[in-house]
Amino acid sequence: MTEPCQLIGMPVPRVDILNKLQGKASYAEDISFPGMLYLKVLRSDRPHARILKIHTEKAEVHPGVVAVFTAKDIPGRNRVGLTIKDQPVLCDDKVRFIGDPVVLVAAETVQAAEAAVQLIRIDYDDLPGIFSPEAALAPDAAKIHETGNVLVDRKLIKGDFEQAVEQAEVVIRNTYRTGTVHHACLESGAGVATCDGDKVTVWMPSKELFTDHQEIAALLGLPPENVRAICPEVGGAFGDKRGLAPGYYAALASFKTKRPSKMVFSREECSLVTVKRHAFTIDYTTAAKKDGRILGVKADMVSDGGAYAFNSFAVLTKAMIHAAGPYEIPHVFVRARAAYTNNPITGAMRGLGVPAVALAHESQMDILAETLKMDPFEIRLKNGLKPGALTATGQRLDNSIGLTETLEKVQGEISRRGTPVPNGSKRYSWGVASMFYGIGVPGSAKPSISQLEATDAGDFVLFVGSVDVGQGSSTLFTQIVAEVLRCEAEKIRLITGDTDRCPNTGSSGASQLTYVAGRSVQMAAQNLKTLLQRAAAAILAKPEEGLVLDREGFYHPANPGRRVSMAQAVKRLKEEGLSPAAEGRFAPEVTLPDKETGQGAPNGTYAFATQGALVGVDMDSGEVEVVSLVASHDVGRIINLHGVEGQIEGSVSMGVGYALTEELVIKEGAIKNPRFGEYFIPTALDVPEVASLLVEAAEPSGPFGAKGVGEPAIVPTAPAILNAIHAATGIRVKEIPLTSEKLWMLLKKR
Amino acid sequence: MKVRMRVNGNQVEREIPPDRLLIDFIREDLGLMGTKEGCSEGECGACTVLMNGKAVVSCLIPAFRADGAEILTVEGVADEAKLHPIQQAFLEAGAVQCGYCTSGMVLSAKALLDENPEPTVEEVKKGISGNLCRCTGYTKIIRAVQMAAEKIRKERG
Repeated sequence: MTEPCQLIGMPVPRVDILNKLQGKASYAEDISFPGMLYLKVLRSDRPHARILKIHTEKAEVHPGVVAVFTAKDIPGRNRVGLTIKDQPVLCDDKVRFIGDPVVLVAAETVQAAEAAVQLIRIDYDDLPGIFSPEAALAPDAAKIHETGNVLVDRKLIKGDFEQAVEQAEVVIRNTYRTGTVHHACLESGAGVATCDGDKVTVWMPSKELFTDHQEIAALLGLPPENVRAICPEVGGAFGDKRGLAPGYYAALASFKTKRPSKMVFSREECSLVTVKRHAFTIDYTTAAKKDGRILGVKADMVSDGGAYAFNSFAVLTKAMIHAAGPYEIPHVFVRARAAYTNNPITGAMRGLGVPAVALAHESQMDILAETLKMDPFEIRLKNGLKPGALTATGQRLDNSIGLTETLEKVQGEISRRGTPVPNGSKRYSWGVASMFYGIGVPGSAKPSISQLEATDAGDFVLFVGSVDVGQGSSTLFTQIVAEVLRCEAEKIRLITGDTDRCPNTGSSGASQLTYVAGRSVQMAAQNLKTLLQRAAAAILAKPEEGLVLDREGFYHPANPGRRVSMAQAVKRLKEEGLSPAAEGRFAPEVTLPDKETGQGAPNGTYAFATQGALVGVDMDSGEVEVVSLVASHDVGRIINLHGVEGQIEGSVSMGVGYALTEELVIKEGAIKNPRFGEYFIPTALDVPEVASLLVEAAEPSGPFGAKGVGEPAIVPTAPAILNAIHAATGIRVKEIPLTSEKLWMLLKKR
Repeated sequence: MKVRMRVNGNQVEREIPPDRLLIDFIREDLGLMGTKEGCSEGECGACTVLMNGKAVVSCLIPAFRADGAEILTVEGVADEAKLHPIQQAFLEAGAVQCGYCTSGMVLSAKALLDENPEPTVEEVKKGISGNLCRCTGYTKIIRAVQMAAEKIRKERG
């Protein structure tokens, strides 16, 4: 018997909110132990050089210094990486970017560690630096890694693009560029470790704790069970908080010295050495009929992979899969490349490569519409993915395709609101952009596992390895369990982010926690409910199928007065020798994109969205105000209303930065603006009013029909803003960030 | 050197080196970890505390400058028993995500509302514009501050 949902869709307060509001939430930087050592890393000031000799003698005898470590002190594997293990924890042969770690100092105080680092000298033999992917891919380029400079090179081929060009009546070709962007989490990052005998425990913010755990065990040359990784509260991730981080160095120093240790990233260090969003150059061609039907698209993209591979493969794969946008196009050809350079490392950031390709495909849609004198909504509605459509990877979509509805909602809202009339030098216009986004890691069949136990009191303990990085996953999991087991959220205790206690429920990335991990949590709850219901049926001497569960327990509709409480059901289970515990295991049905053609069904479900941006452009100064943003997102099913809205509002803010202000300026491998005073993330004065118009096209394989929204929400923002700026000024800009200085120059030239 | 100040209503006295920053005094000497350090140069506002009722970035102020001052950190905002109306409004509006900016936001909001109990949206935005938040896009924070203003007005009748 199904009952109406009690908690699903509600703005349930976050489970961690009281701690966070009262300053009681503990982040890695807040953790300390008596006798703790403080760590600092000496980093390369060269973009590319061979290490000849490292002089640490003066540092070793500096007062307060306890140990100085170089590559030769690493007991295990001195290489880390998600797909290719190419990144040294402490460089041995070469340094490959400005910020590459070379020496680790452990001292009694931060000041002593900082002073000692200054006393170390490294003899280098400088090598030619390579600072663009184009230069890296030149035939005579110096090799950054032994394997060469090609990091990713893959293709997607559907139909025959040349045939589309032959049949087309309009062909539009443009080149788009996006900048290198920093996650800029407010928490720059820290790690703390202890060592007891040969067991190392490390506290570190990590969006993928189980991967970091494996890397640290390998680094120390220890079996995984000798390392315990615990994730405290995380001060923002957005794709960061994974891979080589302070926790790795704390683990190494504690293992070597047998003392607790702590390392904290300075803001500048965080900017220099954590991974960045890839800069892309995308050569994009659209071939269409005069009636607006798109016959084919071709996208040739090259991106800057930086000094180490990290997850460039996933970023470029995502970009490739989504390059054609949320449209059914018979002929598609995509080439997605990333090259090693001597620039800072690039990796995952909210949306991976999809926000970059969305700038291209959504600008092209508006250019095509303008060329054909069509309405931007009409051309999107005409080509948009609908039930039964085939994506560019040849995946047939049958369920949960809310694109049309998102377009209609934004269209309706924009026409209801209207466009402000020009005011002085300011001109206003709306712009629109759509997107689709595959939920989860492309082609990953790795199951998400969660475990749920009932206590003797009839409460529940949920074990989930996945970490809440701020987005609210812990609250969402609690709501799902409470919904299935018909109890108050307060009855559920969550154990999360601890490799000794939790199963691997999956990474807090690829927008998969709601859909994949959430589904495994729902299955664990359903499996536990089945066990408890069977026990209750035995007590009531009724068939278990007929029982109903509410807050007071199980009962049979024929006799609602007789109840079996959760505690009684647990007791009965135990008397039968059964454990009141269950597991949930879920992996979406997916296939890896084919190596040659990119064809396959890489994602179990797709999110859809359309955003409309109202901008006001000052025609004299080039200043752009994003006044309003209307965001319609098909999320499958809302689990937590505040959570969904919060993801959209935060993404829009990040998208405004991506479109208008944010870019790491990198010259000869050096980041020129690592500080918040020079790298401009939006403040409260820079963000638009955001209206979330939610669409719930339920996904049958998701928990209660939910899909995910964390990354999808940033994808259409920048192109919607650029399309609005074009509508207001007549200037089509194909490169972001479009700063007010750049727009001023363009307005002046006009 | 010796400094004395009232922190969250409690008199404290400590011997400190002259270059001790207020944030380190609060976190390390007093063990109040709710005040966060985001950038160490006054740009992000995560370390905001109230000094004699004014919002200041504690990462830029030497602790000795707070000698004799009244300091309020996030730990002192709520009464023993219940949340401050600003905290309650943040809870109801869903204005918290990762939480790293939250302490500073709450204190900037308090400084604003203490001075201007009926701020407009623009005044709220201006009042918290020195506090960066990467998660929320500020939408729910701005709403929360307005809700808090309403709650405080009601409490005062």
